[in-house]
Amino acid sequence: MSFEYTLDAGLNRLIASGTLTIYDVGQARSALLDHPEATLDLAGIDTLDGSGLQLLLVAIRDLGTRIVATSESTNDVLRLVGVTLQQEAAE
Amino acid sequence: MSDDLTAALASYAEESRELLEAMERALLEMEADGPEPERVNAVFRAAHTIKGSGGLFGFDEVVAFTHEVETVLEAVRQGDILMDGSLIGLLLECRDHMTCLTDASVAGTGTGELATRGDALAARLESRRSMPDSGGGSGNSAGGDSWHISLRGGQDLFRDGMDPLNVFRYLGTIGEIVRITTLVDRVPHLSAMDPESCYLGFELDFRTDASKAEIAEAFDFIAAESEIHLLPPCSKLSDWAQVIRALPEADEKVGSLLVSSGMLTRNELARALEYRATADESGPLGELLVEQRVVPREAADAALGRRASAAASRGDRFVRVDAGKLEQLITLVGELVISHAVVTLASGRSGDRDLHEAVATSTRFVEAVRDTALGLRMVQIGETFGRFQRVVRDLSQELGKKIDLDISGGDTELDKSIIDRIAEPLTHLVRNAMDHGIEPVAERLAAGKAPSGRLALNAYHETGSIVIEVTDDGRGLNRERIVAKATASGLVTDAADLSDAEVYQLIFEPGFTTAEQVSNISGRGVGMDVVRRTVEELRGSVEIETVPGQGSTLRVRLPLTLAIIDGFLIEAADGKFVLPLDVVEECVELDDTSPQDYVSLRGEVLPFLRLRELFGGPEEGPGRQSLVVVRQGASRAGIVADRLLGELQTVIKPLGELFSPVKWVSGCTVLGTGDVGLILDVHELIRSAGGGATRALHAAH
Repeated sequence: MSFEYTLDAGLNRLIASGTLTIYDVGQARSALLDHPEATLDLAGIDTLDGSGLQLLLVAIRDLGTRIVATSESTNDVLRLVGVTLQQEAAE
Repeated sequence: MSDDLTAALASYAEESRELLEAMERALLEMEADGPEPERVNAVFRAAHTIKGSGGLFGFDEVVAFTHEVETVLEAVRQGDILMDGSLIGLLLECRDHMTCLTDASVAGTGTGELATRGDALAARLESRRSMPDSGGGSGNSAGGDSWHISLRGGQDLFRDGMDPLNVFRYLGTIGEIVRITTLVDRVPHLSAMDPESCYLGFELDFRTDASKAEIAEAFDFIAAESEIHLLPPCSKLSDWAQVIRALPEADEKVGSLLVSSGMLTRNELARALEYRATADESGPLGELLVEQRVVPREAADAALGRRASAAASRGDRFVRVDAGKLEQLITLVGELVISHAVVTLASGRSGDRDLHEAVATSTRFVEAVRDTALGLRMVQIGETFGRFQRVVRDLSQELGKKIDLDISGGDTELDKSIIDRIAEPLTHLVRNAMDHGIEPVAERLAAGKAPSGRLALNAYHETGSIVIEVTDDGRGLNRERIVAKATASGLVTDAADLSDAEVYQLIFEPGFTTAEQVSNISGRGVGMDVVRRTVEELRGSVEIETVPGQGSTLRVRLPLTLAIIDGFLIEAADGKFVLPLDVVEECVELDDTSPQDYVSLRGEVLPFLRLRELFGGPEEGPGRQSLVVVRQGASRAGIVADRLLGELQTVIKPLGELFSPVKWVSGCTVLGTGDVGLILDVHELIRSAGGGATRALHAAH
């Protein structure tokens, strides 16, 4: 399964689904840079590896990206590395 | 005593004062933020220098006592004694005693009376020195029962199919990851990073029964491309030091991580850094430069290089000047300004164009000399504010209250002569806010407030004045209680007509207090009147802003300088008056046919005062009069003058006792014509104009 994103322009939200791994981080980085104001919905992510985690943390650090939803597999990784997200309620 | 020795003693006294202030500052910082090595070194350095300089003058008591302090500090530096709260408190007491010893030695009054206190403090220092270190576990080890693992991923880790997350998952099967911190410090900006490269770092506390070999095995796959450090439980501080040194992040970053994770206490971190430095440096202890050995040699060398060059450049840039000579310079500049005004006037009358141009040129230089000379006396208020850290600390303990001090605007500058005189009134305001304003913890909690009270000191410039604010988040002033006390003590007979501001000003009346109990901190009613008197002597004012239950702000407004100002000269009833130029907003023509003492200026009511009336001139003025609009803070008023004479440099001269009843005048100046001009007290004028207009408006309605 590969990473896909769609832009919900009405909510200015990037909706990611599939995997967010080393094979996907290039595409994901471009999407984030193209839509720096967008919030990020990770509810559809079923696999997150170290490179995906790194990308998310840097997007939060550098763009102030806000995460509006996460999947269980994303939560597992975040718990594993001791990261707590300030998650926003989905509009 | 020879002049040279007198000068040297004065220099020693000044230097000691500065060192003792630095010592106090470093101790208070340690109490708030932990005993970072540089702070311990700062205290040691101050004590060492005071001892050395005291020895030069034969101040044996200073030397002997400071030696005891220095010995304890050296033990702290060596990691033999913990720098905890009680030791910081003891060292603060020692610092106070050193101040007394130094003052007495310099004054030649003898130190005999101080001996008893000195002996007691020395005994406590000795007791502390002989006490085994109980806070550091096994003394030179730290870390508790967990392994500590530092991992910095190699850049190709992800590309080679490795993932630290898998290692952590495996670790979870052979033990418990107690804490993990993910570091992104090394990751470039999102727009510049290669997302397939690994820049992540991790700090883990890991509890397990597995052997080191078993733990290391978990990292086998990523070890070749990563930087990994394994520290067993209760590792030696020297091992911690090696790890801190090896990691790519700044020492402070790694150190604070280890402290926040609970693996190291602040003291252990400080000692680990000390150990590391000891391994780097071979020079003798106690030498000023070697005392900086808390960073790697290269960094230390670089820092020392910078410090040395900075010190050298400071040496080139700063000269210590006797305050008396500075006073003399300011006085002479004042005379220069006055005599230049005479020359300017004469040149204007002469009609000589060349002379007029030459005088105009020299005017620029006179103004530059004036501003430069005045600038020499301008100092930042931060140092004065800084002293309140100790006041607040000690008083909080005495009162049993929790109070945090916030300081802002410390870089605001004002005349040194004003700073010297405002320190004591500020102390009164701070003590009063802490004693009467901020509530005890139980009362605060009951009121839904945070248990810790907040006291804020702030300073800023505003229209030619400096404003100093003392703000607390306490209970605020209680109008009813103030009125009741003032009525009972005969300060007022009928308070019904008094505005809130007028009622609050009653707290500055001599003998006024609402305190139920007189403490040794405040409550005798001697203090707030001194505050107002001192501030008014400095041509300043005090305002109060208060919200019951939420707190108060006491705002002290002072002139920037007491010497020379840019003024605006006006005339009324044949008298010359000067307004500080900074407060003048605009001048408008006044249709003076109305008996009212207010006008509508662009739709806003502007109260005004007629100087002719205030100073007893004939009622009939010239047909056309001018209204000078002045502003101070949020308040505005108009001053009615017969003629506007323009700007001038004003050398402020004090008025004698004879003029003390004249409340609208704050000083005088000598004009170029030789006439005397009265400098108007704008704050008092605005207050009088506002009150008069308000009464008039009430009457009209």
